[in-house]
Order: sequence, then structure tokens, then C-alpha cells
Amino acid sequence: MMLVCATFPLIWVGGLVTTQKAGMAVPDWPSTYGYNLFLYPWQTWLFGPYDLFLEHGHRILGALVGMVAIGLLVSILYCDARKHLIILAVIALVAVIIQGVLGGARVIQDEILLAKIHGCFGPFFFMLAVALEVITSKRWSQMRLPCKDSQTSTSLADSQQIAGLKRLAVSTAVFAYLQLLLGAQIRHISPMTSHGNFRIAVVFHVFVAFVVLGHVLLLTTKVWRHQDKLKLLRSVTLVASLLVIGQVCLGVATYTAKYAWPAILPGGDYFAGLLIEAESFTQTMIVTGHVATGSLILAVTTTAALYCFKYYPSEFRLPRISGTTLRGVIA
Amino acid sequence: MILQTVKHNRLLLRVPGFLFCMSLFLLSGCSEPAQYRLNLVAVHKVELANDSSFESEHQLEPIADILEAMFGTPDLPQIPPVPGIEDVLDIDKLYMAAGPYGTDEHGKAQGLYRQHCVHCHGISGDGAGPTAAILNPYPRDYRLGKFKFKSTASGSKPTHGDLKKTIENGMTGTAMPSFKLLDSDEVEALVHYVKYLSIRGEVERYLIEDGDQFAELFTAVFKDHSQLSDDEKEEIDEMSTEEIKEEQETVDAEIVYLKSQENLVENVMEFVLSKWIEADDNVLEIKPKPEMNLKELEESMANGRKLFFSKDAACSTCHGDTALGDGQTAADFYDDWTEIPGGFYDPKNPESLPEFLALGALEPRKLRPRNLRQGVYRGGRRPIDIFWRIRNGIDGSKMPAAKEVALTDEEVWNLVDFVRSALPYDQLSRPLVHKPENTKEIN
Ligand code: HEC
Ligand code: HEC
Repeated sequence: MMLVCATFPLIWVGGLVTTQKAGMAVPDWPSTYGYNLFLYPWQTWLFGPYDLFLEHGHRILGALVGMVAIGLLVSILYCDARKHLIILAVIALVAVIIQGVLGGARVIQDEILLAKIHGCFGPFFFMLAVALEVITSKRWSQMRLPCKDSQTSTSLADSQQIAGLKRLAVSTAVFAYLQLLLGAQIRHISPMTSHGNFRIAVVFHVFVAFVVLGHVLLLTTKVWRHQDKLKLLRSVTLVASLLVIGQVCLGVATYTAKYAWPAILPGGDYFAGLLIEAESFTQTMIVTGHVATGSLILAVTTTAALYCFKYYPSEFRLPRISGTTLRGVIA
Repeated sequence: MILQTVKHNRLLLRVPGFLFCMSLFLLSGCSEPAQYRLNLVAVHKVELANDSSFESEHQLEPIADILEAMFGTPDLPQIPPVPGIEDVLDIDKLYMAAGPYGTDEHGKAQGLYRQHCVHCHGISGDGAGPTAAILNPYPRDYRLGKFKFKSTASGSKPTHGDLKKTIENGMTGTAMPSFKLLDSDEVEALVHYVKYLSIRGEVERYLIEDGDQFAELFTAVFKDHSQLSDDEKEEIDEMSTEEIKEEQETVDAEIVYLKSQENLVENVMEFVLSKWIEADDNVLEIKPKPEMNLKELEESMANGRKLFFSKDAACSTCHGDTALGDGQTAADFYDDWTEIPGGFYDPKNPESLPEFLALGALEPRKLRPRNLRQGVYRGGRRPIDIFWRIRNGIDGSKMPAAKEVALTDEEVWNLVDFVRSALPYDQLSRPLVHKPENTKEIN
């Protein structure tokens, strides 16, 4: 009975994730894709076939994601009424609705602030969806819990280590999200922003990039060095590392495609003859790739964090990680 | 088992809430509506020079009012009714480029400037848009009315075609992108908008800086005692209340005149607009580059080399003996947008710099003569482009016009051949070491 109930949403969720990937990548895309990078084109669906296609596609996809979220909630209610799952699914549904309304409001009012919120809320919802997928998946319920067996032999030092691992995993995901927020600040600039503030945003974005990179690499090494062999966690962290490294390169490429080779890096002479072509295919592709990879990193790090919690469950009494400690980590 | 997971997921449920709050926090910087910004950097420059601050109700506000009455707002531009202006600016094109971007009911693009340019060049065309600080060179500040790459004589305005070429081709090696993927009439609209911002900026500067306009109004009579400079205090203290009243009336009358069509059309616009109208007449007639066989080309290059190092042309004093762009010797070498009188920075008086930076000026950066061994030309790489650069100089960046040092057209072509063909390319694998700037002066 449990099994059936668990597999049923699974099928749904498989579908959800697919739509998510498409559905969540797209909201980030049209703005980069079509004719602007920094601001979403509003009304561009009137503008030409290509834009029409994108904007309209975005809306259709958004609607689809909404319906899948409803379906998910229903199926969870019927088949797998774990309380926290229901809560999560409800939150997800509300989030989709809010996001849809925000998107609409953004289009009607052409307000950059709304665009920013829309842009920040997207990854937030994405994270929720990924969490839902992970928790309802077969992998999750079938994950072996080796710690249980070895519980008696686990020392206190070990449990502290594990607590540290969890904390690290969570803060990695938090930083990944913060980084997306900063990225959104850079993409949606208002014409009245001062150049000083923008520069701060860029510098901060680069700084957080290295924080994320450091976190992810540390997490990966820790997971790989840990004696327990959890293949899933290992591969997830490995993917996260590769993605983040790729993302840093993409970030440099984005900067180069938009503005020129960053002067603080060596090798500027190689790019002395670079002519930037606005809205060229290469430029939009690089920038969009950067944005999409950002969301992907968020997904992977969220998954890693969840796996950590699942894999090392409550037998170890953790120091409670509250919002305050988290803020402490960030500060 | 499930229960245990639930316990831990409580933490996980809290994290999203925290993230959500954080995103709201980051978003709290709300967006202002698009407005032109007064050129406070120019205002402060005049204040320092005259040792007297501008009074807001009788100087800053009237200037802003005049500008709005003449040029409208970023959403609704306007062209002042001055004879001849229709040859320079086209209001329909301006409508296309101004305002928030999107499409009108006929599917025509609108708000092109805010879509494509504003993040670098700024809403007022001050070259200090949000991204400006991270770019090198900085984006152009149109308000000075100076443009580097053009076919007209040194000191004159670029032609419509020059600007169009810049926008279409972009500038290699800078952040200025090529917009050749835009429709031709969209580029046209942007050219008009650049000229509009440029003219507006020049009018603004004229109103602020010219001695016969607002700069020297005796507004001390309106000021609070604490706003007065020492000189002004002395003067005011010597005046009786009646005298002050009288003087106030005089200043008010002057402002009425300054705001009048008479002043604006005959003095201000005449001063600014005439150069734009004349631009087309200032294109230099050039005989096409003579056809040459190999031997003649070699001779031409050899002659060019001689000229390059000669006293008259003195190219090497800036571009260096190796042409790596490391020859200039002046300790203070800034472009006209940075250094006074065009800019704000006075290398002899660097203490005032923080005040200007606080008003939104960009950090001064030393001007670097081009490394000619990379074969990179911002103003275009055709022989004629380089001919124009050498013959007319590069406005605003101190590169002198060859005309001023009396080179003939033929000699300029020799230099073109030398620069284009005789210089070895900088080897990227083993680049020559640049001389540290200013070595000559230090030694
Ligand atoms: C990524 C930033 C960026 C964007 C976007 C940009 N520019 Fe520029 N622009 C620059 C920079 C940097 C320069 C200065 C290059 C130099 O000084 O060599 C410049 C210079 C110029 C000049 C001066 C050319 C001269 O001869 O002096 C014009 C005109 C110009 N831009 C127009 C535009 C227009 C119109 C747009 C929008 C369609 C635009 N730019 C978009 C960065 C940008
Ligand atoms: C007072 C210093 C100075 C002198 C003298 C000078 N230049 Fe320059 N030159 C510059 C600077 C500065 C630039 C870069 C301008 C910019 O884009 O900001 C430049 C740029 C150039 C360029 C590049 C134009 C482009 O399109 O990118 C060429 C070619 C050039 N100079 C040739 C010459 C030649 C030939 C002479 C001698 C007749 C000469 N220069 C004399 C300062 C000088």
C-alpha cells in the first residue's frame, strides 16, 4: 500500500521535474534571449515571431506547471498523506500562483521591481519543487540508512562531523540562492541605478561566487572522504562541483561577452581586438547559459542538502541549526 | 522512520522561509522613475571656481525648468522651436528612441535608448549609467558634445553618418557594442537621440557654466547666512535691508530674462546648435589614397616611419618609440571628459576630487595612447578611418590633428601606411615589456 502510494506521485513528480527544468529555465530565458538582457521585454509577444514564441511559450509553460502542482497536491493527498509533504505541496501551489500573478503584474505595469521579484521568486519555487521531487522519489524512500546499523559504534566526534556536514550542505544551498538573487539584481537594473551601487553588486556577486565555489568543493571533499559510501550523495556533490566550476567560467565569459575581458584577469591583450556585438547569438547564449546553470546549481545543492539530512537522520542529536546560526554563517 | 524525517525537515522548512525573507530584503531598493539628472558635477565645478554655492530656488530650479520646457522629459522628449533644428533632430525619431521600451500599437519598436544604451550611457547621456564604473574606457558622456571618431575637422561635431557608423560598427576593444543587428531606422532613431541628449547636455552646461547665464547671478541675497562664503558674507553684511531687497528684485528680473525665448534662442541655442548644423560642411575633402605598387608602398612606409619619430608629427612622444603606447611623459594625462575645463578633475587640486565623486563623477583614469602594434582601431580599420584619425586628431583625447602640425595629405597617407603595415604585431606569446608610464619624467 505504502509502495503504491509512494510510486504514484513519483510518476507525477517525474513529469513535474521535467516541466520544472523547462518551466523554470524559461522564465529566466526570454529576458536574455530576445532583445534584452537587463530587463524583460514586455509586450514583446506583439513584437515579432521569435519573441512571440518565447513569451507565449513562457506563459503556456507557467500554466502547465501550475496544473502539475495542483495534480501533485491532489495525488499526495490521496496517496501519500505525509503531513510535511502536504504542507510543502500546498506551499508549492501557492508559490506557483503568486509567481504567475507576479509575472502578469510585471507585464502590465512594466515595473522593474516586479521583474526583480518575479526573477527572485522563480528560483525559490524551483527549490521547492526540487525538494518535493527529492522527498517523494523512490530513491528517497529506498535510501539505505547505514548509520542506523553502525549507530552504537559512532563516536561523538563523528556525530559532530556529521552535524557540520549538514550545516555546510544547507549553507551551500543558501549561498547558491543568494547568488541567484544577486544575479537578478545585476540583470534587472533600473536606468536610475547609480554606477557605484551596480559595481558593488557585481563585486559582491563575484565574491559570493567564490564563497559558493569554496563551499561546494569543501562539501564534495567531505562527502567523498567520509567512510560511509553513499553513491547518490557522492555523485550529487560531484555534479555540483563540476557545475560550479563551469559556472565560474561561464561568468567570466558572460562578462567578456557583455563588456570585455575583465581587466583584473591577466591575458587582456588576447582580447584587445574583441568587438562586442549586441544581442548576437553568442552573447545571448552565453548569458542565458550562465543564468540557467545558476538555477541548476541551486537544484543540485538543494538535493545534496536534503540527502544529507536523510542519510544521517535524527539518531545523532544535532545542535539545532536555527535561523540565527544560519545568519551567523552568512554574516 | 517517517517521523524522524519529519523532525528534521522542520529545519528544512524553515530555511526556505528564511531565504524568502532575504530576497525581500534584497529587493527593498526600490526603483525610481526615469528622470533627467541635473549636471551637478558641472555645478560644483563652477561653485569651486567662483567660491559661491548655487542657490536652489534661483539657480538650480530655473535651470531645470528651462531644460524641461525646451527638451521635455525622458518619456516625452521635445525639440525647442529654433530655426534650423529640424535639420539636426527629428521628433518622430526621438519618440521612437525615448520612453520605456516595448512596441507601439503598430508593432514598431519604442524606447530603444532605454533598451539598448541606458545601462552604459545613462538616462541623461552622462556616460555614468549603472554599468559605467566597471568599464574601461568609460562610456561616452554625450553632454560635452565631443565625439572621438568622425570625419570632420578637429573640434567640430560629428556628422549624422559618423555617429551612425559608430553605433552600427561598435568600437573594437571597448565595451561599446556593435548594433548592426538592429533595423536601419532603429539605428537612425538612436543617432537622433544621441544628438538630442548631446545638445540638451551642452545647453545645460552652457546655462550652468557661462558667465552671462546663471553662473554669476548674485543669489547671495537670497541665501541663508550659513550658506554664504566669506566674501559673500562681507558683501551682504555691508548692505542694508533695502539694498538687499533691491538686489533681489534685480536678480529676479535677470532670471526672467534668462528664461525668456530671446535669451534661449539667440544666445544659448545659437551657441550650441550652430556647430551641429555646420557639421556636414566640416567634412574634409580627401583625395582617395593613391594606388601604389610594392616599391612605392615601401617608400611610403619608410617616409611614414621618419615622420612618426620626427619632431613635427611627434607621434612617438605619445605612442612611444616602440609604438606600444608607452611614450607619453606627462604625469597628468587625462581626457577632456575628466580634466577641467571640460571635465571636473583638476590634477593640481586633487583635494576636491571626493566631492565630485560623491556627486556621481567617475573615478579619473589616466588616458593611454593606443598601442599601435595590436592592429586594433576603435574608430575603424579602413585606411580612410586611420587617415581621419591622424589628419583630424581624436577629439577629447589629446591626440593632435596632423593639420595643426602642417603635414600634407600625402604625408598623412605615409603615416597611415606606416601604422597599418610597417609595425610588427605585438607578439602575444612574448609581448614586449611596456615601459612604465612616465619613466622619462622620473629619470
Ligand atoms: C556596454 C556598454 C555600452 C553600451 C550598451 C552602449 N555603449 Fe556606446 N559607448 C560605450 C563606451 C565604453 C564608449 C567609449 C569608447 C571610447 O571612448 O573609446 C561608447 C561610446 C559611444 C559613442 C561615442 C563615439 C565617439 O565617436 O566618440 C556613441 C555615439 C555611442 N557610444 C552610442 C551608443 C548608443 C546609441 C548605444 C545604444 C544603442 C550605445 N552606445 C550602447 C559603451 C556602451
Ligand atoms: C598627445 C599625445 C598623442 C600624439 C602626439 C599622437 N597620438 Fe595617437 N593617440 C593618442 C591617444 C591618447 C590615443 C587614444 C585615443 C582614444 O581612443 O582615447 C591615440 C590613438 C591613435 C590611433 C588609434 C585610432 C583608433 O581608431 O583607435 C592611431 C592610429 C594614432 N593614435 C596614430 C597617431 C599618429 C600617426 C600620430 C603622429 C602624427 C599620433 N598618433 C600622435 C595620443 C597621441
